[in-house]
Amino acid sequence: MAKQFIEPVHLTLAEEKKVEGPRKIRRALSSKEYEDILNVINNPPKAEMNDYLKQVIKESRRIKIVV
Amino acid sequence: MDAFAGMDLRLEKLNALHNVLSFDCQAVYLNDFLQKVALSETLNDISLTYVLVGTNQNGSENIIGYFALEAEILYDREKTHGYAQIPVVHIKCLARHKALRGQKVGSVLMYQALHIVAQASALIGFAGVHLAFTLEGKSLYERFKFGEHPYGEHNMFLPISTVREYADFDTQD
Repeated sequence: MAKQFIEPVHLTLAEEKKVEGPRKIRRALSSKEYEDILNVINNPPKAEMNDYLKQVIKESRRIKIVV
Repeated sequence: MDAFAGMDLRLEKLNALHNVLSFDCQAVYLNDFLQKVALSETLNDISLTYVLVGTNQNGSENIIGYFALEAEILYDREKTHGYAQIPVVHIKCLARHKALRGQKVGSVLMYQALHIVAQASALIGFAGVHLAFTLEGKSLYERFKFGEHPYGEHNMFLPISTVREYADFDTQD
């Protein structure tokens, strides 16, 4: 059975003006920017297990995942 | 972590039965997204919103946080590279209820989001995760090693290999 398409809801312009959070800029990258992000991908930071993360993992294990 | 510690917690994909109107993280944009946009986008597979539902000892349920994920692509407008597209996951929103401020709920949400991203990365190719941050959330993202993004000062990026390391931590004691 085909999925029923529901019209997406978008914020009105007036609602957009209330935005206080970050405004994401969607744009293409320059070649320099592109190379910069490739460099990050190829030299990724190392995830570190520390006391803070141990506490987060401990709390996360309490969550029942039902998705 | 008093209030958070006493709750039963479930992570669920957003549906019409969730009481989104009671959610308040004090950021207008993040409240509006959950209350007006998230369900429609989730039903239409534009983005997927996951809600962390807490049940108190008296049985009342509330959304205590949420995050939304969507696919995006970064590309080189000058096309000087033969392979000029970088697929990524965008953490579109991430917020916790204002009543649970300072109780690591945001970090727990981020950890759950990265887990989902890591699982997806085993099946679909993409290079990392990016997001636009609020000043309040920046330190949280830095804890997870999000770094500079070519989009500029209000955006951060995390390579997928680092994301997978976080998922691997969960299998360790």
